Parts: sequence; C-alpha cells; structure tokens
Amino acid sequence: MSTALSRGFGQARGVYAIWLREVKRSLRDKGQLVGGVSRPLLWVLILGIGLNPYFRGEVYGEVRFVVPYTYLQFIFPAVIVLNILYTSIQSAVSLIWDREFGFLREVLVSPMPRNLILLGKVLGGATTAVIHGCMVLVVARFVGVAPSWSDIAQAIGLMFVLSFGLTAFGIVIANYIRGFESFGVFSNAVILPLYFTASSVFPLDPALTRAQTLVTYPEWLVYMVEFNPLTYAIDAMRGILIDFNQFDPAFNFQVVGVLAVGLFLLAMWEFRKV
Amino acid sequence: MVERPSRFRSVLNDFGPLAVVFALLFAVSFLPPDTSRAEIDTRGRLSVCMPTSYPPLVTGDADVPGFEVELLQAIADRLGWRLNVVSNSLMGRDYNPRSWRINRAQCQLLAGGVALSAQTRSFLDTSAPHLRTGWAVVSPLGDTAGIADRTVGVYVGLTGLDRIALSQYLRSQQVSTAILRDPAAMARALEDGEVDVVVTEALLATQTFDPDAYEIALLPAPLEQIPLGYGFWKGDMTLRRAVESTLHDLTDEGVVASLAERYEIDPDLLTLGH
Repeated sequence: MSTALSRGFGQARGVYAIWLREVKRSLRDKGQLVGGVSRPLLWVLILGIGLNPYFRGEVYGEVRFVVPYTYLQFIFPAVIVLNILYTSIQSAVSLIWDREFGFLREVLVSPMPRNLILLGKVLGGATTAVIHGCMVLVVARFVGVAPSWSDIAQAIGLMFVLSFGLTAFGIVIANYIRGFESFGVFSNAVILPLYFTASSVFPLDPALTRAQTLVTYPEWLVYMVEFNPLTYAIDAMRGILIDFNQFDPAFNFQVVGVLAVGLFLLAMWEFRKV
Repeated sequence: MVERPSRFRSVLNDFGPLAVVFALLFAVSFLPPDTSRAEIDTRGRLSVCMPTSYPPLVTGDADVPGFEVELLQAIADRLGWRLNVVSNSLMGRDYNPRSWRINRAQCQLLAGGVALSAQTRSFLDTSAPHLRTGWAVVSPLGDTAGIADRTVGVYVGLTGLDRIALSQYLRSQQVSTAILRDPAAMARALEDGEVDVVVTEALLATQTFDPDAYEIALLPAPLEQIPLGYGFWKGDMTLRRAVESTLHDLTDEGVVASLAERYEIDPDLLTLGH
C-alpha cells in the first residue's frame, strides 16, 4: 500500500515537474508573450474599434446587426478563444523542440508512464493558454463588458477545459510535423479557418428560423459554422460574459467537454508512437 | 563556475514580463473606445428624444416637465451640457420603433419610458434600469376581493407593455372589461363605481390615483415587470458611461429619490439604489 502511495506521489511530482517546465518555458518565451498581447490589441482595439461605426445604430428600428450588444462586445469573447487557440496549439511546439534536442528521449526513458508525461505537457500548455485568455479579459472595461467574479470564475473554468483539449490537439499536430517552420505554417492553417468559421466575427442570429438563416448566409457557410466545435466554445464564452447565446447553452458545454476528453484520448494514442 | 540567479531574480525573470503585459493591457482598457462623449462636450448640448407626453416621466408642462426630463436636466447640468428635448409624438403609439423615425442626427439619447427589453437591445445600447413598471391593479382602499369575476376598467395608454399578455391574463381571470379612453375617464370610472377595479400601467397609476384613497399593486406573474432606462445608439459607449456614472452619483446624493417624491412615483418602482 505504502509502495503504491509513494509511487503515486512520485508520479504526481513528475507531472508537476513537467507542468512547471512547460509553464516556465512559455513565460520566458518573449515571442509568445508578444503574440498574447498583440492579438487582443489588434482584434479588439483596431478591428473592433475600426468596424464599430459600421455596426452602430443610425436609425432606431433599422435592422443592421441584430444582436443585443455592440460589435465590440460581440467579438470580445471570440478574441479570448482566439488567444487560447493560438497559445494552446503553439505550446505544443515544445514537443518538437524537446524531440529535436533529445530532451524528450530522456524523459521517455524515465519510469514515468507516457500518459502522465503527456498529461504534464497538456496541463502546462493549458495553464499558459488560460493566462493568455486572461490577458484579453483585462480589456473587458474597454469594450464595456462588466463580468461578475462568478462570471470570471466560470470563464476561467471554460478556458481551462478548452485549452486542455486544444493543447492535446496541438500535440497531435506536432507529432506529425518534423520541423518548427512547418509547425508554424500548419498551425496557422488550422487556427485561422477554425476561428473564422466559428461565428467569431459574424452572428448567426438566434431569432431567425433556419430557413431565414439560410437566406442570410449561404448554406455551405452555415453548415461549416454548425459543424465547427469551436463555434460552441465561443458561444459558451459569450453566454458567460455577455449573456448572449446563439445555441443551447447546455449543448455548448457538452461539446467543449467531449472535445477536451476526445482530443486528449487522441493525443494519448498518438503519443504512444513518439 | 556559473553563478545561479537568486530566487528573487528568477521569479522576476519568470513573472516580470507577464506583469508588464497585464499592466499594459490594463492601461489600454482606459482608452476611450469612441468619440460620442467628446462630440457632445464640443457642442455643449445633449439632444434627447422623448414622447410628447408620458406622465409622470414626461408631462409637456413647463413647470413640472416630468421625472425623466428633470433627471436628464440634472445629469446634463452636472456634465456641463445644455439639455435639448426633442419631442416625438409617434413614440409609444406604434409597436414598431422604425415608425417613430428617430435617427442619430436628431438625438444622442432616447428617454421617457424606454423599456429595456431584448427587442430594444437589438437596436440600442441601454443604461442600467433606473425605474421599473408593469401592469398594475388599482382598487379602493380596503377592497381585498382581487380582480377575478369582477368588472375591470382597462386603460393601456402609450405604454409598450405586452397588451396581449394582459388580455390573456384578464380572460383567465374571467373578468368583464370596460375599455377606458384616457386617464381622466379611468379615474372617473373607478370613483363613480362603474368598474370595481382599474388595470393600467404602474407609473401612470401612481400619478393618477391618490394613494390615501386607492391601493395600487403590480399584477403578478405571468405578467412581467419591465425595467426602464435610457437608450443610446449602439457603439456610443463613452456617452453611456458618462450618463450612467452621473446617474449613480445623483442616486447616492438623493436627487433621484427627491425627484421621484416630487412626481409621486412609488419608491418601490425605483431600481437604482435599492
């Protein structure tokens, strides 16, 4: 019993060590920090403010943007998810780095089970991604969103579950990529389409019937938005921060939960081949 | 021999850049997101669209212009602006606000009983509610028989409250209704005993009936109570912040409560400071 306990304790310390290394590595990575700052500045300050006048009301009753919030408030939760998406997937670049310099081999020959090594890496990436999500939350006052402490706690919880799944997804991608350059190109090729087809910058008006929605947007785009799991993560974040949902809130959380578990299982499967 | 950095230096290396990033984003959150307030500061005039008459909020009487007019005058005085009331006779007469023909060129703010509903928020940005209203029943003091199976006088007035829900509720109570054409007819009908009780909008009821002779109570669920506030054009965040902050100051100083007392508004219908 005590042997099992001490082994469990030792493994927990191993997970902690890998988590700490991941977090420290990302905190010391100035490039990642600059990215984490520039995204909220560019998306919220420049794009949000730049486009805000085009969505502001001019005539009372005229339908231009049928969402009970300003455009800036509408895109704000999506920018949080964008920051998480970039950071989670890019934190998996450490796998390529570790593989390149032999550190991964040393860790893999340790008595730590592979799944726990993976868990430490994913938890480390998720922690960093949550920090980057919180960077966007800091500009909430600027966009006129005033979340309560309970909303902030819920948002951080959602950020963590989403980051966990997306970091696992990054590990899966990193497993197929051999060099840093290819990873950058490939991750952008995944991140940007995922983000733009997640109802991040335009709403599918929940007041419209499906037939009306298909009149507003082409059918292929509506299907892409509905098929994209990130749509439901952004919608869940909007529900928490601005109390606006385009889809069933319970379904949103289910999708995010299933995504996190599913992607981690996939990462476990892939990590066996490393 | 390589000297290890001190613990303080190590923590500073890890968290210093992160603290700088958060401080930068926090500072950014204080930038003005639009020019709406600056424009009014330059002109020195705040134009407000209001219905011609909606007692006690707007009366059309120069000596007692109405609760909302005086409150906005106090806000404008505090902010160093002149108040320009733009009367709109179409407000409240039609369900479709597009028919009111209100646009940004006429006024920067809408007041005088703006219901803070999801529909309103689709077109306008709104302040926090400072009043609430709903359908109220007025009965002589000591009359505890309720409204079921009685003769009920109904005056709907200009209010945007849900008339269909009221009609369904009255049908469910199996009342016989008498439609009354103006507030004077409503007061007369109850005084003369032509009707047992009167149903009308709560703010109008408090204005029309003497609280020493009549009891006024909001009708219960499923009839909803509607919060009232100010409407701003979407995207005019700096103007909204200035008005809201001044309104809170006036509430704390007791100005709002004293105005409510002057216009005989039931303190229970005030939502700020309660």
